[in-house]
Amino acid sequence: MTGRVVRAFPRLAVATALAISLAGPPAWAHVFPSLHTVVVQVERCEIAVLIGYAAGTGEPTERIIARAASQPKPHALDALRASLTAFALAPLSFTLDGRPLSPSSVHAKIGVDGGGTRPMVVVLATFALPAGGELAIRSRDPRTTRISWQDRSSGRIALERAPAQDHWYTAVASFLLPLVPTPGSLAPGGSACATSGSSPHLDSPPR
Amino acid sequence: MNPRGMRAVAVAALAGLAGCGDPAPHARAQRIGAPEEAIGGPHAIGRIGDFLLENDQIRLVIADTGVDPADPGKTTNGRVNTMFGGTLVDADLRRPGGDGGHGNDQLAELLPGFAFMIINPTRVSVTRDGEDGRPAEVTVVGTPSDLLQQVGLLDTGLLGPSSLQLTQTYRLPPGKRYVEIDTTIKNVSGGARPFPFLDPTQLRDLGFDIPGIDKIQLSVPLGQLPLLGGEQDLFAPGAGFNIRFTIDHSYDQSTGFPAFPGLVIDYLASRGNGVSYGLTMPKSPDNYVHAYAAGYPGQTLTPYSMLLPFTYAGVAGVYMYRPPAQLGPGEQFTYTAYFVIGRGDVASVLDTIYELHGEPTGALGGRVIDQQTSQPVAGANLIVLDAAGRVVDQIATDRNGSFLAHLAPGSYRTLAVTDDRLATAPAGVTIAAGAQVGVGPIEMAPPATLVVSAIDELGRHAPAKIQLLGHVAPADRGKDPRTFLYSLERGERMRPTAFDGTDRYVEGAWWTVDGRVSAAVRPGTYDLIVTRGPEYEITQKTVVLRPGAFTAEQVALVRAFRTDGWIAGDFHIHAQPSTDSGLPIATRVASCAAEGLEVAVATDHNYITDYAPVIAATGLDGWLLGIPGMELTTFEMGHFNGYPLRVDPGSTRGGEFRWTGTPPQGLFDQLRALAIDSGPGTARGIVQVNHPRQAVLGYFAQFFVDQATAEPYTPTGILGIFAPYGDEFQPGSYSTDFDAIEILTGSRLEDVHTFRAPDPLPPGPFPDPQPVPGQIVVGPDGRPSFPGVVETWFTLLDRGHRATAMGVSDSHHLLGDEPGYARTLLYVGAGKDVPGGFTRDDVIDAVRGHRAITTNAPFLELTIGDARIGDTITAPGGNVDVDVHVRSPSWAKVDHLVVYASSQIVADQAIPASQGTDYQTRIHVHLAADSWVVAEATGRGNLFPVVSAVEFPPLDATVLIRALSHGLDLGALPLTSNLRPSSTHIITPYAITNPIWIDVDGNGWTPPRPPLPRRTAAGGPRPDIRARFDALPEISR
Repeated sequence: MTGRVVRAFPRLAVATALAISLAGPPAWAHVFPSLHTVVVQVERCEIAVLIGYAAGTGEPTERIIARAASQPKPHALDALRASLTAFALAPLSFTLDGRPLSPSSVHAKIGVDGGGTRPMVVVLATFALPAGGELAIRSRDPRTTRISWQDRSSGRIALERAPAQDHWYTAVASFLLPLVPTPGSLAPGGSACATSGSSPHLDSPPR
Repeated sequence: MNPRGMRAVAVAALAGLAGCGDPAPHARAQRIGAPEEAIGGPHAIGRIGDFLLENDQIRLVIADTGVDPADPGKTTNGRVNTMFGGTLVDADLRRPGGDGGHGNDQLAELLPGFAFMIINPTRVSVTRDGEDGRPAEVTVVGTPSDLLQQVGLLDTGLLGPSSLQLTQTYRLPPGKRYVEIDTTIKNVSGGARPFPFLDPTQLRDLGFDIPGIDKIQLSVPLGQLPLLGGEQDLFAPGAGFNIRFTIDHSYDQSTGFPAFPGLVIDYLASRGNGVSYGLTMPKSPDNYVHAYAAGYPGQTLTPYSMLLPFTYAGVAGVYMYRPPAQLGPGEQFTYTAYFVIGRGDVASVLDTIYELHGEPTGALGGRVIDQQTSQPVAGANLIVLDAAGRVVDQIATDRNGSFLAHLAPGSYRTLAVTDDRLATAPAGVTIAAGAQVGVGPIEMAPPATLVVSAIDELGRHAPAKIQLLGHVAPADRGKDPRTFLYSLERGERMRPTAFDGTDRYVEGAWWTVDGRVSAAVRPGTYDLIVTRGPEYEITQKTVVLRPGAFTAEQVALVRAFRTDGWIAGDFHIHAQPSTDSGLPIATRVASCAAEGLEVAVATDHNYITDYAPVIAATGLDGWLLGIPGMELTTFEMGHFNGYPLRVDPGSTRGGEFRWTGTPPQGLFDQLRALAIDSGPGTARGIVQVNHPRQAVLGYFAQFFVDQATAEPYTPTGILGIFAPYGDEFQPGSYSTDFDAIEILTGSRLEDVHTFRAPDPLPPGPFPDPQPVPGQIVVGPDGRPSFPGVVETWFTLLDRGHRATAMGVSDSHHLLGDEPGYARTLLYVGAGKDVPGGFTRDDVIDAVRGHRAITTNAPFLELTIGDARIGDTITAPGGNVDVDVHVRSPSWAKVDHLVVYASSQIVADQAIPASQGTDYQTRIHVHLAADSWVVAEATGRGNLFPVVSAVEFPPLDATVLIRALSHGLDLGALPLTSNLRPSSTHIITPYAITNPIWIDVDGNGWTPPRPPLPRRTAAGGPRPDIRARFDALPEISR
């Protein structure tokens, strides 16, 4: 099956240099079958999460390709995107004080790694961020997950207690970001955040 | 002297040496609001916005976080020596007239070390201002971050970087010469945090897959990381001033993990000019060394024992505590250290340490005088040995020759040591608690006085180097010079030997601005050596110097050859602004002129320096042109010179820049933006890649640049484990947007060419693939294990990147690290190579035009017809006659010439011994396609005494790796393998030209190989991730 992947992907003509740099393995990652790279951007009312997922060279890739290949040819690309997106999101969960957060939008773009042999996806998911005490990003597969975060003038994070920004944290099962209890924008009298609605917008829903 | 007299001496000495602080004890902390509130001094970087902590005795500055609150993406990181702000950056005694920024800070930095992690601060604040009469406090709060990404995986295994809050509180009591430092680790996660964070099996699964990892037990050392500065000589009891080699020796005694290997010390101190520093800890049940005492056989343990596992790149690791086995949710662990400030000697630091430890002491006072004149000997070192003969203290005499210090009760021996006299014989003394003991007067034999006056071939008092060469006794030949020629333990200066089996060593050296010197020296029979760089022969005569006698000599320099149109420059030198160099700028510029250099580019670490004012003040402006510049120094991405740069007088570093987390293009862009001539339509500054193949410190080494492609690759196996992981290190961030590259850096001849296995091979075992004598040593991926700078540069040329090859010294000091070796010869035009005949623009144009020769002595000219080095010519048909002319002084004869065309050897000639100083040849070359031609000349003779040999392995990353390697099999790592280039050797003649490019087909020069891809990775903070996502291309069906 892997051989089919190698033959199939050059036709996609994707030059996702940025995706590769985002989802590219750390220097020691040659030992991992796959990799999740998560960048969390905290904004005033939302968090935006960029997830890079590079499939492994073994069974995961074969399963993803099998699902895509089983679709009618015109839909193969969408099926591949959906499968990769599902794999990318599968081990991750986002909670605020223990309550799950649902994405308000999910967008995905797919490509291949530098060697043209492994499929990969970059997913942009956004979540509304109501007031709370602690934002948690959990991974069921911490061994293959690395997380970084950045604050975009949000005023939402208690920076003195937060992990350093722009730093990769590896082997993290539970990544915690402490929130400011009552940020000005969410306090009575503060400017309200627009809500994105309860249903996420999926331009490529997982199947 | 009777006891009353001794007491009088001691009391007088005490009065003379007493602190000069404000008599009213107080302490206060405040934010610096005006420049005059900062401390000042050779390494002071404190400025408005930082935090001043001071009492009636000492003053300290803690840097702010380095982040601009108005724009978190914009930081001033790079001002401090390590990664972030929030560290202790300035420290000095309070001294009369020392306020208003006129202090004598020599401290580079001090910060907490959690194994190899440090604080990335989020907040620095005054937590007690001291107005209540109690201690004043400044507190730094932050999160863990890697000091070195290369050991980031190990950091993760030991400490786990997330969900920890780190705090460092600097607490200054009134009236004390120490600051108490409390460091706290708090678990802010919802679960328990074990230490180590991972067990070895988990660490292996994470990728730290090193043979033996699952069999070892790890530990987590916690302490402080002091960078005491280039002016300071480190000292520890037992090791004396020989810290570095004693650490090396301690590795051999190590039993391996869980105890980190290293030297066990009772305290760390230093010696400096007018100020000294120290570090100690209180008794604690959490003492790291005691927790793993079995790991330190043969070393002396006390209740205050600390571990010193490495000193590297100016950073010392001082580990004191181990954390509890785990911290529960919300739990924290606090440990304490004391940072002490002394008057310039170890003794004044130790006095305070005794006070902190509450140990009883007695006083030792006295005076050192000249045996012949009875005049006081100022600046002498009284070295104190314990009963076992170990150096335990150093006491400096004041201008009256007096000294006073405190010692723990016991029996000691003392001796007086200076650089220009013979040391006194050790004399016994017994110290009792509470008693005062007066000794002396201690009489030192007088020195000889030598006066030399040298003139050049035109009768001028030109700058020149004057040396005294001694000869060791036949019985000592072949012995380690540290055992008989000088004592590093006692703080004596190193005396370089020829390192070639002969008996020669350098007793003293003086770099003069006018060929004249008057110096006190140890009596003896010497060879007087006068030189002025490679363009002059050695002038030599024997002198007999007798104690107390005056000897005068006049000598004339003899020119070896002329270099019409060419000037000599050193484009990589350091002086006092560099934290690892204590050399005054006046001494630096004199040394450059005396070595025959005509251009000196100031390249201090992360400090823009301009030599011009000092050159003018020392009267050298007729001899030497100074060009302001800087060595932009990252921790593990490499070092890059920029010149000529603007000096910003309002900046404590001469300019503002950032290197932390910045990709190469960001570094290059900053250097060019700082250039004097930056602006629309003008030529911009030169960006030079320094020592590119040096581990950790070299750009090519850190990006794993393949010499066959000149492009980076992602390392695998053990190389990958110790590779930096940040985005800025991804191969896509690599940039070739540099103008020049160091081909020969100082004495690093071993980096010039790709390493081949010697024949016969040294003792194994060796990792696979097995080496073949005479062949290039390769790793499992088939790439050379030690790729050469020249081979990589050749590939760059083949692929069309015209980086100018440079020779530099990277000199930080003087003797043993001489400026100008190597150097770059530049063609500035006929008749212009005279004082005042060329300008800075001529120099920069020559670099940019590749009109340059890298050399440590030979003058190697390459011409094709009228074309010179750096030219591009058209040669229809591809037939060219390459003329090579090499000249050298008789102390640097060449014996081998190689000519290359597009990486291929087209001529390989032995040079007859009779022509080793002047050899000419013409080589006919047929070129089938556009090409370039380079000539290289070498010799096998020893450049000593003009250039010192490398007698001892230089400090480099191997120190750190060795500290980590006990119990692990790192034999597959090139740095620690049994087969690697020797870093100890004599310096032999070497020169290589820049190319002449040859256009064969007449349609413009085309690279012989496909051009390098252009990479334009931008520097600065991460962009909005939504924008990053939007920028991704969509897949085409």
